[in-house]
Amino acid sequence: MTPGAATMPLRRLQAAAPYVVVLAVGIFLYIQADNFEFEQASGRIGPGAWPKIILVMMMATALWGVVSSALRAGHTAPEAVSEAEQDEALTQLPEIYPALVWIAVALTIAYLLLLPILGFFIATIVYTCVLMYLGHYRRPLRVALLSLAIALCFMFMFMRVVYVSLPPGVAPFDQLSYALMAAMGVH
Amino acid sequence: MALINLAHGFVEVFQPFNMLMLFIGLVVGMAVSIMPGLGLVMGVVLALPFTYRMAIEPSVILLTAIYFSGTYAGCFSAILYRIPGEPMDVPMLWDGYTMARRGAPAKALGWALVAALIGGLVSSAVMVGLAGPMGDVALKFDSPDYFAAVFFGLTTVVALAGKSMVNSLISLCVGLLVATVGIDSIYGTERFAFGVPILRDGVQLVEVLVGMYGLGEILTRIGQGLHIEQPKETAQKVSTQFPTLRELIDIKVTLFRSTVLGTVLGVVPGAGATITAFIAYGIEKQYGRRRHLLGTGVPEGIVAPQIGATASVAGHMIPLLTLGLPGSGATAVILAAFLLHGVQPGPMLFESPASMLMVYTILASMFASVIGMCLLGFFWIRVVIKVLTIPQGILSAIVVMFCLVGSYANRNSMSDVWMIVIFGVLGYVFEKFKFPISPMVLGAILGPIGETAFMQSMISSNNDWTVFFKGPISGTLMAGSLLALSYPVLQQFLASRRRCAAVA
Repeated sequence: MTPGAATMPLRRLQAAAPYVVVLAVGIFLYIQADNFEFEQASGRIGPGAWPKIILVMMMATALWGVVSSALRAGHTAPEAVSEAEQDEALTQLPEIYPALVWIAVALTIAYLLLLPILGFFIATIVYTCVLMYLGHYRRPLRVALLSLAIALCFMFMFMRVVYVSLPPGVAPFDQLSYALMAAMGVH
Repeated sequence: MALINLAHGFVEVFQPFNMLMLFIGLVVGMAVSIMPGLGLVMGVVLALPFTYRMAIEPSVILLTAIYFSGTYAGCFSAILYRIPGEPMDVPMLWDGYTMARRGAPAKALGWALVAALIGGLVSSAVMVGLAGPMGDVALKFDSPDYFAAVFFGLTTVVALAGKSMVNSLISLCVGLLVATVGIDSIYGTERFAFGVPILRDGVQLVEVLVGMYGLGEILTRIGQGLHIEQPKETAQKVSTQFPTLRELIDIKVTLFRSTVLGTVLGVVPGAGATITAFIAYGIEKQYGRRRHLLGTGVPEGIVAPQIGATASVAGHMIPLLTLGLPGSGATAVILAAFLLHGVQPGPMLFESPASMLMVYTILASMFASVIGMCLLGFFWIRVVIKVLTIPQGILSAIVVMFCLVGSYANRNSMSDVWMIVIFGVLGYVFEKFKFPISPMVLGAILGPIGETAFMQSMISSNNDWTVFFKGPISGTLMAGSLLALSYPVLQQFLASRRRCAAVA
C-alpha cells in the first residue's frame, strides 16, 4: 500500500469534518426549534417555522458538502495554477502561525475579564503591548510609548468626544483613571 | 424635480460639518484600501461607532465617502508596487502594474483616476434619475413582493459570493439563524437563547459586522504573520499624468461598456466592487477591440476594472435607499447606521419632504465623494501611499481597540464586547475553512426583514406558499432567484465540460 493510499481516508475525513460539524449543530438546533413554546393559533404557522426552513436548508447543504468534499479529497492530481490565480493569491496568504491566533483570543478574553478590575487605561496598556508583540513589532521602548499613546487617545476620543463611559476599574486602580479623566476634562 | 431635490441635497452636503465628514471619509477610505488586510468594509465598520452621536446625514456621508474612495485608492499600491490592497485591485496588476513597469506609472495612475471619475459620476447620475421611479415601484410592494426581493438578494449573494456554493449557502444559513436568536417579534417566543441573558435580547447588527469583518480579519492576519510586501522604492517621484482627449476617445467603447456594466451589476445584490471589477475585465478580454493586448499594459485593462468597481458603489446605494436592502458588506454597515439612528430605509423615505431631502443629500454626497477622492488621489498620492510603511503590529492593535471600544460605545455594555469576540472567532473560523463572510452578514441583516415578510404572507394567505409566485413582482423576482441559484451549477457544468474537452 502506498503512503498516499494510507492517508486517503484521513484526508477525506478532514475535508468533510467542517460539514459534519454543521450537520450536527443543525440537528441539535432543529430539535430545539421543534420545541419552542408558544400559544398555538389554529391554522397558523408557529415561531419555529422560519428557523426550521433555514435549518433544513443548512442540513441538506451540509450533507451535500460532506459527500462532495469526501469525493474531491479522493482526487490527488495537482491542478495547474494560472497566473491570474497566482495574483489572486497575493490577497489570500496562507496561515503560518495558527497558535498565535488562539493566544490572541485568550489575551482578548483576559483583557475583557481584567477591564472592570484594572480599568480601561491600565488594562489597555498591557493588552496593546502584548498584542503588538504578537504582531511581531518588538521594540520595547516604542511598544511601551505607543501603548500609552493608544490608551490615552482612546480615552480622550471616546470619553471626551463621543461621551462614552469607559470602565474606571476598582480601587486602587480607579484613582489613576479618575485623575486622568479630570486632566482630560471628563466629568 | 429630481434635479431640484439634488440641488437642495448639494446645499446640505456643503454644510461645514458634512464637508468635514466627507473629507475624513475619503482619507480613511484611501488609507484602509491601500493597506492589505484592512479593506474598505473594515474602514466603514470602524467608522460606525463614531456616528452614534451624529445626525443621520453626516453619518451616512462619512460611510459613503469611505466606500467610494475605498474602491479607488487600492490601485495606487497595485500599480506602483504590485501590492493589491483588496481583491478588487488584482486586475489592476495585470495591466496597471505592467504599464508602470514599462516606465509609465504616472500614466497608469492617470488612467485609473479618469476611470474612477467617469464611473463614479455617470453611475451616480443614473442612480439619481432612478431613485424616484424605484421608490415609486417600491411603494407598491406588499409582503410577498418584499419576501421575494429579500430572497432574490440572498440567492444572488450566494451565487456570487465565492468559489464554493455549498460554503456560501451554509454561511447564509448561519447568518439567517443568528438573526432568529432572541425574542420572536410575532409570538414573543424565546428562540435559541438557551437561558443566556445576552442572547435573549437578540444579536445586534453591529456585533456581527464588527466581529466578522473587524476582529475576525485581524485574527486571520495574525495567523498569516501580519506580513505585507514593503514598497521597494520610496514614493517621492510619484505623480499622475492624465490621458489626452484623443486617447480617451480611442477607448470610448470600453468607457461606455464598463460604466454600464458597473452600474447595472451594482444594483444586483452580492455583485460587490470586486466581482464587478473582475467581470468588467473579463468582458473587456472577451469583446474588447484590443483584447489580445490585455495583460501587456494597455489602458483598457486599467480602465475597465476601475470603472466597474467605482460605478458599482452608486448602484448599491439605490436598493438600500429605495427598498432597504443592502447588496454588499459596506452597504450593510450603512444600513446599520440608518437603523442605529432609528431610520428604516425604504420607500417611505420618499414620502415626506424631510426624509426626501436626506435621501438627496446622500445622493449629492456621492458626486462630491467621487470628485473629492480624485482630487485627493491627484494631489495627495505621495502622502496616502505612506500608509504602507506603518508596521502591521501597531496597526492591528489599533484596529482591535477600535473594534472593542467601538462596540462597547454603542450601549455602554460589556455584553456587546463579548459578542464581538464570539463573532470575531467565528469570522476567523469562517476564513480558515473558506466559508465566505458576506452571505453570513447579509443573512443576519436581511433575515428579520425576510422572516417578517414571510410570516405576514403566510398568515394572510392561510399558509399558501404559492403566494410568492402569483404576483407579477414577486413571481419575477422568484424566477430571478432560481436563475441566480442555477448560475453557479451551470458554470461548474460548463467548466467541467471544457476540462473534458481539453483533456480529449
